[in-house]
Amino acid sequence: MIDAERRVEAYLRGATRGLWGRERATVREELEAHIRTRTAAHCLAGASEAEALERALAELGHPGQVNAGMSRLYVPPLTLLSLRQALRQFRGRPLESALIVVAVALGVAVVTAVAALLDLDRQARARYDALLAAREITVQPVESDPHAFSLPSGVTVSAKRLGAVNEPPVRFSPGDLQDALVAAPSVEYAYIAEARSYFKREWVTENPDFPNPIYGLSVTPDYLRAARVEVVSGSLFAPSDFEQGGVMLISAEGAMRLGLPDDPVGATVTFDATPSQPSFTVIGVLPAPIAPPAGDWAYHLLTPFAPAPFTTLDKLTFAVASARDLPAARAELADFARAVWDERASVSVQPGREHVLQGQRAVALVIALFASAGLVVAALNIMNLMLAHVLRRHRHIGIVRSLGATGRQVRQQFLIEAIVLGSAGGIVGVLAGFGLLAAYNRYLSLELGSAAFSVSFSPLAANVGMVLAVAVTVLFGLYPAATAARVRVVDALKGV
Amino acid sequence: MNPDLLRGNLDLILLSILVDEPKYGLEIIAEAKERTGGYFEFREGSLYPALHRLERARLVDATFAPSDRGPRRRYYRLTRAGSERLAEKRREWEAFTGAVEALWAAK
Repeated sequence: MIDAERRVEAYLRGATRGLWGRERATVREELEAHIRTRTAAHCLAGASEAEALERALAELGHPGQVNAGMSRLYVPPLTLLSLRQALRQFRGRPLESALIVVAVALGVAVVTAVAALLDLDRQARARYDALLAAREITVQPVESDPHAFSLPSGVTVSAKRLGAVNEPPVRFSPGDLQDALVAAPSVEYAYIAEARSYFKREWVTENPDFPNPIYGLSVTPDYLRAARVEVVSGSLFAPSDFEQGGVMLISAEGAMRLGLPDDPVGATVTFDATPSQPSFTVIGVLPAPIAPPAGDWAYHLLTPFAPAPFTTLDKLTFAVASARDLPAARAELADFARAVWDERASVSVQPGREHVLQGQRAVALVIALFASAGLVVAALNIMNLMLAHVLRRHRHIGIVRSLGATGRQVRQQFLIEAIVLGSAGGIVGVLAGFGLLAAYNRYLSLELGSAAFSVSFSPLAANVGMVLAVAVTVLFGLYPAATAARVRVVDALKGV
Repeated sequence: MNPDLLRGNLDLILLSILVDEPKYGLEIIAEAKERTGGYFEFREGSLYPALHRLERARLVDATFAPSDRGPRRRYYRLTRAGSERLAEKRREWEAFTGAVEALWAAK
């Protein structure tokens, strides 16, 4: 009794395989009714129960054939069955599948890394602009410029300068700042920022040999604009501050060092060991100390500076609004400097920022080109592997076709497998790509010592990578899938 | 019976059987066998897919109905589109056989 039930159940399951939901239930019920009625009829005719059942099932035919007939009608294009089949392939042929996944992953990893790098390039450029040092141009006497003799591009220093001692020293005055601004339209800001050091007597007792002073900058109004100085509390300098002095902006760290309360705005600080014993009232707190172009210390204080018109300056400092303007500004200032001071003044930007003057974009494009080449290679690889994949399953395809699967269904089956493999490859590739970026990140921070270049993992790059993986795999799986569909049953079953 | 001939005309045969009243699978098989004197003996496994195909094409309607004994049965009934198709196929058939017979007629 139980056996009969199981037999019927097995038959019904085979006949309705791949069907879902209502269709499955309907076909099932219909077939079951047919089987039972037939069996009963045979029993009446004198057969035993078991025999009757067998005969009924035999008359109905092989469940696979019934299924094939039904499947052709009911199976929608993308069924879970196809997906299950795809995953089964994955498990059944792990090496082959793994190869395809790796091929995809390689291409995707490269593209992801490049996409993120290009994005990084954009971000770095933006963050760059925020650094004042990246936008600064200095005009100073040739003798005092340590970089004057080391490949500045655009300023020529003649050899005789090296021995020149009889010429009057170059001196700058605040008026030159204004003149230069007029002569160089690409320059946005002109300012003076002179370093100052302050200390208190009690620090000497801490370390008599090296009493560490606290450093600050004395600046003209344009500096605040150029450096985009902001305060977290209090306010920036007012124009009157530049006339009177006696105020300062301090960083939180500096305030702590000076033993000021948590909100130091309004507190007054007096320093020692300077002739005029300057005391300052804090009017604003800076979010962070200002880092100098090179060196480990930082400027914690900003004080207003209003030089008298006859003051001599060691150098003139200018800045552009965006690093992009740097080359033009530099050229203009060079012309101006040459006009006013002959060859005695040199115009320089920060070393290491020189590369801003050469197109970074070109580098990015070259990287992208190489990445594309890598992707093309990967894609061809994928097609190759998928073809092999298909050819291996020749017999399988033949059998499936003989049972009634249409070419369309076979093709779709392979496409779904391509999607599954592509997705797997995409995930691996994106992870690998970010791994590459992390390594690049590490390299950058070691080489240039600048945290300003750290890579952020852009979700855009991840999406691009995934979409690309699936797209490429499907695209390059189309040809193999079409080949699979075209397999002739006769050829495939030869030798079965 | 030549299976090739059957294959091309299965629709015509099934629609013809369903012309009078709704019938279920086994009934259709039985009737086909009886009325043609045993000529049409369907392989039952291929009947149901064919019926379902006709249903999908809306040439027949199918509903379950309870039976006096045993499980409920699925009855197939001709729709209007189905009768139109039947008429069409009959015309086709008559034209075809007419032409073939014309070839045998004395010249």
